[in-house]
Amino acid sequence: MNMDEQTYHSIDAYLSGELQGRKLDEFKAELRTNKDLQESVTIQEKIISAINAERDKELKEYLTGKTRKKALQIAPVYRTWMLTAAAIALLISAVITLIPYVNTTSKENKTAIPKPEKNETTDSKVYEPAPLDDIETTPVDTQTLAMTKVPEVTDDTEPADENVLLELEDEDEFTEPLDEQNSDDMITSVTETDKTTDALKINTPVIKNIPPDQSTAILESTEIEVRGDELLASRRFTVPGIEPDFSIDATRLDEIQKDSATDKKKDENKNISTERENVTDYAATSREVEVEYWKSIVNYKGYQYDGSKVKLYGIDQTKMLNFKELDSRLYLKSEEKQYYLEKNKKYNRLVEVTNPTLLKVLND
Amino acid sequence: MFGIGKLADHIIIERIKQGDEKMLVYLYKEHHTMVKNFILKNNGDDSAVDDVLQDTVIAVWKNTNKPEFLLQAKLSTYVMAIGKNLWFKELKKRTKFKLVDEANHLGHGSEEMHLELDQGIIRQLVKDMDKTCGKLLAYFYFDGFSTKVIAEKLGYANADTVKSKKYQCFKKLQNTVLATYNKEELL
Repeated sequence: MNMDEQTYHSIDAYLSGELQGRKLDEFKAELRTNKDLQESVTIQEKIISAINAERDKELKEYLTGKTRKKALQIAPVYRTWMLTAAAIALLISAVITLIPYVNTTSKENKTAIPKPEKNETTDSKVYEPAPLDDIETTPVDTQTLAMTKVPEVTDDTEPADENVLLELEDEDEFTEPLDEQNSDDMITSVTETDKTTDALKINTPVIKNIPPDQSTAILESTEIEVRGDELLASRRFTVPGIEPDFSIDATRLDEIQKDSATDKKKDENKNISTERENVTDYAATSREVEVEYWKSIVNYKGYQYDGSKVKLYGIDQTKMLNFKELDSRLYLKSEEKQYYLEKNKKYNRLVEVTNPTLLKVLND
Repeated sequence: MFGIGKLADHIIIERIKQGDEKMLVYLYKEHHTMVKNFILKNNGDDSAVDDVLQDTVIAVWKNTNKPEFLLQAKLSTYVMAIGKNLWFKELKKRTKFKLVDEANHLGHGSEEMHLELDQGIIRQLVKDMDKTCGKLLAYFYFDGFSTKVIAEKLGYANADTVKSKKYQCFKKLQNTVLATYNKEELL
């Protein structure tokens, strides 16, 4: 059997079904009569079948190799759920692990070291610095470092234990209610009549140098105060109301207008408004207004006036102040200057009165 | 979901046509659950799932490379349709086998065994042949790749070279087969 290339391709086309129409008929006719062709078709078919079977096996092996590994792990459908569950579990365990760390530092110290032990440790006169190996190398927040004083390491520096102990003492002070004496002291330390607005205080213990002869260790806490505005004093002022009396103008103005033809009267007419300004009669009323002197945390200078109470910021309480009310408007006189106080709930800057007419009325 | 992500049908088809065998794995994984559920609901067991799914995916692979192939539904629908057909075929085969098993099937069995033995020897010869030739013939006959794709995959200059090379490879294999077998044994 000697198969040429043309026959090979014809058989190929016949077996694959590509041969159609007239060519297919001719091939079939030839196949019926030509024995060599019959043998060639049979052998070619068998070889192609073997090639296909081998390739099929190869692909299945490839698939098995690629999918068996995955099948041994986790089915793809459940993988997402498994990963999600694992992530949640990891998160929960991390939170559980970290929560005690965050809370226990203060709690443990409170419970583990009772107060009486403080006396024992503070009785000792000489303190040795803690060995370097014992010093924790935990990372320190730079902001915390910036906020707190860095203790100087001297021979008198308290040991780490003492430090912790006294830190606890400070914490107790902070967390426990103040006893009456202490609270009174605190109030008087500000001013007599003063109140302070709520301020957030962060107590940070600082180790001070302790003189060797001192029998007890003294530790003070540096208060880092985030302060609010501070009320310095409060006073009540009587505010006279000014009601200008323009009764003179009714008759006088008519006379002036009648004589306006003359130059002399003209000049007088020109000055009519001036004459109005020269009013000296007032229908006076008075009321009281509460004035509070505040110290602004940002050194703000101004006021707040709600109709009954004036809050003055940055005004020295020793300065002489004078209030007047004109046309239901409040004016403040300070250092020979008149200021108009606007009634609203905002913080306002002091606006000086510049209108000469108004100034004259106010000053008179 | 993982790995190469969710691919559009036309991309999968295109990559199969280019001979990207990773698509076989992708199709297998994507349809594993569906095919498995179907088989388990239809008198099947886990052991049949892998075989049926492999046959299904390979059938899709081969069909896609046929010139007349046209996807008229979602690829997953098409895959499931093939999977269902193959499973029903398998069920029929199993039923038929049970019925005939009791009858005198020994003579026919030995004949089949003889044919399988023949093919086994030829397959071994295919396996032993030159790698490039083996791949070329496999790509052409089994995968149904176009001569252009084969040229690209195997680094031939053009489709004509592939055609000519294919003849040479086949002739070589045929000669080896004929040298191993008597012509009468093959016929």
